[in-house]
Amino acid sequence: MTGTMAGRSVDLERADIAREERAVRRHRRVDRVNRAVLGLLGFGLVIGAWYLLVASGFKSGLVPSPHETVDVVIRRFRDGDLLADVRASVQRVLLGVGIGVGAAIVVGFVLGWYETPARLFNPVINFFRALPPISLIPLVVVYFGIGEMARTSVLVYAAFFSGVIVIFEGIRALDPLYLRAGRALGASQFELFRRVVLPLSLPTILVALRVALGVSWATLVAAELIAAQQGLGAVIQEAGSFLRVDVMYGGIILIGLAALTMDGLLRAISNRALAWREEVRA
Amino acid sequence: MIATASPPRVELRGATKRFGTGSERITVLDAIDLQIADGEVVCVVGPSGSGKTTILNLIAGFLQPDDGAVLVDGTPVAGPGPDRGVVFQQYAVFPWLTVAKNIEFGLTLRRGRAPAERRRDVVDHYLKLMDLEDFRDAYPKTLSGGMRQRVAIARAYAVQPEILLMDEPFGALDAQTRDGMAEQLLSVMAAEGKTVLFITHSVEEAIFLADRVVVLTPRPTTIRDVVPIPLGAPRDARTKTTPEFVALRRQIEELLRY
Repeated sequence: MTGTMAGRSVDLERADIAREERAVRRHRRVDRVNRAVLGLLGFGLVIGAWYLLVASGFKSGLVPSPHETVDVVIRRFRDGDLLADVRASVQRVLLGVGIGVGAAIVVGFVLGWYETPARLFNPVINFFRALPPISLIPLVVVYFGIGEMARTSVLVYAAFFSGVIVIFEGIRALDPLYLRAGRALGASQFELFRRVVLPLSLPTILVALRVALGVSWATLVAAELIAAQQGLGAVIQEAGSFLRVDVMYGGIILIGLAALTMDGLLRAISNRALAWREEVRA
Repeated sequence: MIATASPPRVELRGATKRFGTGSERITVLDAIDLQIADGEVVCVVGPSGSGKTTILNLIAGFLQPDDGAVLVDGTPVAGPGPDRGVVFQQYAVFPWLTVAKNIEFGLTLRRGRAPAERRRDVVDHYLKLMDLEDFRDAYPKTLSGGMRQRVAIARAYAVQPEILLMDEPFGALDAQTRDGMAEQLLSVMAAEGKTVLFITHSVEEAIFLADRVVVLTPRPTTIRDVVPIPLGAPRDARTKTTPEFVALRRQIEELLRY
């Protein structure tokens, strides 16, 4: 008696859920196409406006058209040097974000977990976070000279302080319910950390990575102002000295594209790794 | 009978709990005495804010009493442990694990480690018992509230605790699901035969599930009365309309009234 009654309501639940899931999936597919089309259209509109600007004769001779810009970028890629610049910039950003966010994860976890260090260092961290990394450049030159070390340290700085705050807040917001559940099932402190806290904070870590990546690309040009021979920032800087406006445009667009690509990759990884979450889309 | 040598499975002896400090210090539990025998199902009802959950948290080891003692098998509770399974009101199933991985979680920990074969047997057993066989590899986000709570109950039973502590596990479910869940839990409890403490604000649910119902007073909370439920087994939806059930219900509602 009890079995069949419970069984019937379970069957109803199953049918409901299956139907809902199908609808959600169909909706998602349509939504994804819609998103992609509109996103491309947005770029199309900007490029159109750019052509109009050129046609209007604004700052005549100082605004290259989109196809001229694409031309010069392709030419520079073919010569080989621009590819090396892109690679140098990408490497710097990855190194800066890797070290910066790596440290931010450790520090953020400690501050999120323990009350006293959090109270001790929170104001200090907010102070340093408020400083624009560019303002530190002269000081960095004094201490580290103008080598790779100087450039990387600025990026590490930017990545660390943007990431640590995200991770700190994320750990703070962890639902204690899951910790209690883990402890009641017999988890030791270490198991609680590895089996519950870590998976639970993965979304936060991925958000910190995205934020740090964004800030690091934004800081890159400043870092490469420090007498870099290579890198997209250096390309723009050098083009400025020779008034090569088309190269400047090309460099700026490449920075944007590189940042966009990295963010897209990270978002794809997030959506896959966090497929278990209630709201999947990052 | 009274002179049995073995201590009760769970015993609260003058257990007192206060929250807050200074003038805002309030006494939530005031010298609670309660004994739960091995294999007994005890439901606790009380006005909201009366510290029902605090009693459970003391036995679970999430809280320590300010006065008195909380004993399990005669030993004071020092903290949470796998000898006492807990089912929470909010869905505490781990969202990053599939249904099967949730159920076997406790058996993959150092303290309760079981070999893979035994884990599979346990998971199979509880998937079947909880009507979750089709959802072995599903993530909790695809499950309804009732199903999530069935996973949580299976996960708690899987580590084979002697005591199960359930904190309004059906409180967030709609009425129909709730009745179905109570019936299913009744048959699970009968099959597994563990000691159960079940917190609820539904008098009907309490009578339906319990061997004894503990009725609490408002804060500072003491025990108003303990009502034995001599309904026997089996119980089903029709039990709730019997004269005995209705009388018990009226009696307990009366106890809660003032």
